[in-house]
Amino acid sequence: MRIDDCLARMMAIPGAQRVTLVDCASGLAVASAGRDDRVDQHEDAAGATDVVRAVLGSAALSATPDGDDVEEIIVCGSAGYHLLALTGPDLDGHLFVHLVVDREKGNLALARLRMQGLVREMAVR
Amino acid sequence: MTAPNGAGEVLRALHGLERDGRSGVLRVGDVGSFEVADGAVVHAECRYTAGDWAEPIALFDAACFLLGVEGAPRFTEGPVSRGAARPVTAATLACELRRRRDLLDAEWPSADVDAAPVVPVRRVRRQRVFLTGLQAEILLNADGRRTPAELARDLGRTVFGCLLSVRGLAAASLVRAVRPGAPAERREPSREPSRDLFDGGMPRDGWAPADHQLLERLRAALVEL
Repeated sequence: MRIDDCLARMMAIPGAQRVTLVDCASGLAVASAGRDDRVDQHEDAAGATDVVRAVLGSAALSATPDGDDVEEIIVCGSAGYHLLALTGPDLDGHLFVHLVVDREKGNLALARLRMQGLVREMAVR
Repeated sequence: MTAPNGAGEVLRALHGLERDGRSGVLRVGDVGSFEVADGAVVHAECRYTAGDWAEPIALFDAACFLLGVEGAPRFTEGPVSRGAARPVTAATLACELRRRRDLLDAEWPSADVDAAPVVPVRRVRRQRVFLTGLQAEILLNADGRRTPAELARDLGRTVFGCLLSVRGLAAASLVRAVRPGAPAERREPSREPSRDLFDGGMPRDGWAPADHQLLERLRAALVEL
């Protein structure tokens, strides 16, 4: 599946407002779709990357003493959710998807399920 | 990124090409090249950057590495074949380079480990160590002969990702740079010569090709004994 098709399907998740594919090492926004009223897409990507790197680098945020694999990071705001879904080792773990979901129109559990499927499909593309 | 004050000449050349709206290939030493169409960069590749990354990652990874390479770039005018899906201006590259240098400096503020081969330290002065997957790969492969960029090529990772990881490892005192000058140093990267000599790069069983310089140094040391 092409990246753009993949992003389009992520935008079809109920309540999805914006989706960005980010390179985890450099914090570079590789592709994005959806609402575009942010100050700077690349600044957003860099900020989200800081969060991912902080979690990956923190032993306190792993569920086992020897460090488990982080699959998602979720930030809940009063108006919406941020879902940061990390691609697994199939994509070298070097990309993550940042999905913004409206709190009223969206459903976090559904968004997570759909996202997991799409990330898996993207990894085997 | 490797040369702390680099980026001058290559960037100046790119700015000049952009101003005049020229098309062609700008070669940077024998390390890599930019393809320029109507003044904008449409492609960048370097010998360390794997080509199978999503296009913008590969372009910025190669470009930022090339901007740090010393020496005068050479421009060859001519049409370029690549489509300009997302052309990049010299100013964007300069901005991205600055951002990446800041990220590296935030990790560890010294560029010492960027260009030199790294080795793991002998003694780890901590009870526990927490590593990312890439940092573990680098520690397992740091042999004191390959620079971070060469490790990136061999591991199939981005150069920037490796530089960032190496800086993190340096900050945690887990790797150190091998000082040039100590053992006979080849600043020239690559094992290309040994590849050519032995027709196949990595032998079947996965051992790295023999380092002849190292063997000769060993023999010299043994003879002295």
